Amino acid sequence: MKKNKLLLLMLILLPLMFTSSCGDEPLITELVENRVKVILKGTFESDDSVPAWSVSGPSVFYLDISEIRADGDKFANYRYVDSILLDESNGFFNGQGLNYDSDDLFIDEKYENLELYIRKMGFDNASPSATTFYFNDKDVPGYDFNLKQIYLESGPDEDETNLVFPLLAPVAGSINYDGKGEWIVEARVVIKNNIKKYSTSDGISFWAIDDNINDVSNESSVGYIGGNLASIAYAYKKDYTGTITVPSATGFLVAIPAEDDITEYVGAKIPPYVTRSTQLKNIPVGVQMKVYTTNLSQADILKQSSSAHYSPAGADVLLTVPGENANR
Amino acid sequence: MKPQAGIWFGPSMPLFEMNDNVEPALGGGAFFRLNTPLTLFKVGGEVGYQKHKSQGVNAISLVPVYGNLLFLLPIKFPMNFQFKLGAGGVKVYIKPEEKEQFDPLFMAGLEVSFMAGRMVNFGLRFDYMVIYEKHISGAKYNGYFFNTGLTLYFNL
Repeated sequence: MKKNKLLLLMLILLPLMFTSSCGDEPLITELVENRVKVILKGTFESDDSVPAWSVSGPSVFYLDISEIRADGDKFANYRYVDSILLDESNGFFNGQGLNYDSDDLFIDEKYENLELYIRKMGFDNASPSATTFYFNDKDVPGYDFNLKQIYLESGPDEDETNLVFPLLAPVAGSINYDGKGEWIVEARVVIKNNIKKYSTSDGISFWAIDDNINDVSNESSVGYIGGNLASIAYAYKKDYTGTITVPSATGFLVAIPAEDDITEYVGAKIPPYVTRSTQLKNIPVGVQMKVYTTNLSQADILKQSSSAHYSPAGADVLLTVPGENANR
Repeated sequence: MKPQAGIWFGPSMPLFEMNDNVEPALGGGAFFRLNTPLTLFKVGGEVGYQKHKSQGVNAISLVPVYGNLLFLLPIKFPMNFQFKLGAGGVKVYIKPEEKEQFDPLFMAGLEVSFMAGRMVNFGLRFDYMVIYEKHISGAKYNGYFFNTGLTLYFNL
């Protein structure tokens, strides 16, 4: 019985022992709530300085993404499916961005790419006009060109690697996610004012995204349309950013992390910060940035195989306090 | 009535907000129980483990360690009905934050068991667990779990 009393005492003390050494971080809340917000944009510009759609033909873009990963981490395992009007009413095309559901990233992980698993992409106004495809549980008028976005260097690849399942959006700089505050991860794919009409061998004409590396003029005999989409991803901590102003900028004003070389940002990789105005927003504090201007048009920039058109706009910028503006 | 030791395993369900973030999983644990001078009451100690994953990166692992008081329903029936109330600590580990700590734990439960010989009892248990975090500044949620288990008791 004496032994039992001792055990009894231990039983009573055991819970007290554990409760007294409890942690002070709200882990359940941390798990339920998310710090990382994913924003998707279909524009070349990183802000709302986007011009209006200038296209005659399609009026709706059908987008179906099954999930987004970061170097394989399933941090945004949520589906997004929507028909987006080709005007400025939706965040996807007006520069505000649309919100994509996500969980959080791993802290201090170095992410190289975001992987966008795009199930379907299509525009309406294909011809013949009776052309439809199955989208979001119903038949919609238009043409799903996703399966035609296959790997192409100089000819159709034998493996026919689909370039949009997943679409690799390279991360500019690194995501220095620290698990504190609110973070924005922005992924952009240049769709606005970057489309082209293609036709298949069986007589269907359809609108799709222009290939940004190769000039794909006739896919009818081989069944591809290129599929090298211009994209980029980058991240910053909300309210821990500043601005860069270049009053003399006339065309595009561009900024990239100083650890990168501007020569990397050609072909299907676009700079993370691009504006038509004279001020770049959401520049992270504590990250050295290089600033450039260019006077080429969006279409010309996307077709360039060299970065010679980017002219440096003053010395590198290193913001030190949130809200700071650097003039160049 | 003799002191008992036992093991259990069965499905664990995250409840409320947790249910949107992680999936049900198989949990399990071990326990021992001692008689008290009051015939209908026992005291027990428990340790368990359950890991809830998700389709994405979210995951939570729990190691509850707690003591409880058991009350045997005084009815004459081939099955025993016991109510439980307990408190203790739980080691919580979450992903993708990769953080862990001890939190206070409270539980209430019911066990239904029957004799399967002098040495062994079988039973079913239903436990409701509260991981109490709302005392921490910045916390908006507690963690709630409902565990169901098949139990094997050994009468020592």
